[in-house]
Amino acid sequence: MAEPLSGWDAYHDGMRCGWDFRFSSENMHTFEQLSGDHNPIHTDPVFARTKGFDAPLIYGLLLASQLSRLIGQELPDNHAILTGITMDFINPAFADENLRFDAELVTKSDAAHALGFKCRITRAGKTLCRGTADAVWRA
Amino acid sequence: MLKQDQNSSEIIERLTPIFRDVLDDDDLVITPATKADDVDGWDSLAHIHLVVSIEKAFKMRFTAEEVSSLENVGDLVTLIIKKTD
Repeated sequence: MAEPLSGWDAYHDGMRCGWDFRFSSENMHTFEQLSGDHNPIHTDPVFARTKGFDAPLIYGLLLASQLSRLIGQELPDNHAILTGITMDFINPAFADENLRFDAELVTKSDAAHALGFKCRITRAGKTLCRGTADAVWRA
Repeated sequence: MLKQDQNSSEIIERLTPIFRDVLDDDDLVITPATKADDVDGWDSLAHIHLVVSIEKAFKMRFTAEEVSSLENVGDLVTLIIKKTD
């Protein structure tokens, strides 16, 4: 039987990973304290309704934290270092919803030992966010 | 030789916006003699972004050996021409 690939060879174009996650109101409050973003769109249900939303919006950068998990936690090893992210917030996300994060490796540069991922956050199949995560691999 | 020079200037023309974007300098001018030491912000991380951006723009892949042997933009242009032919 062939040995499983390891090190840089463990990464290949098209490799995918994903997981389910959710953020609670308590998580939102923690992020509010850490970030210093007290905008009521994220904290006040009445204010959120005046803006046409059913509930306070999850902080976009709290959603983007899943990119950190991808690079820091979900890859074949712990040698990748996040070097850049982009994220478009297409539809709102709310606390206590079941969300899903999926990522695909779309760029692997052997020359630079760099990785580029396309990512998506969905709720019941509907895209809420699209983004990218770039990392450099330093063993 | 004329064709080679023409290719070189065309490639530098295509490389310039990539370098300007990655190095965040709208006025950056690169020539075949330009080296990393000559340009503010061209550090190891910027170098990685440059390589990946150039690979995407020119739809080609470099090896680590090819990239580590580059001494200036002219070497990069020569490498691109070689891989295009």
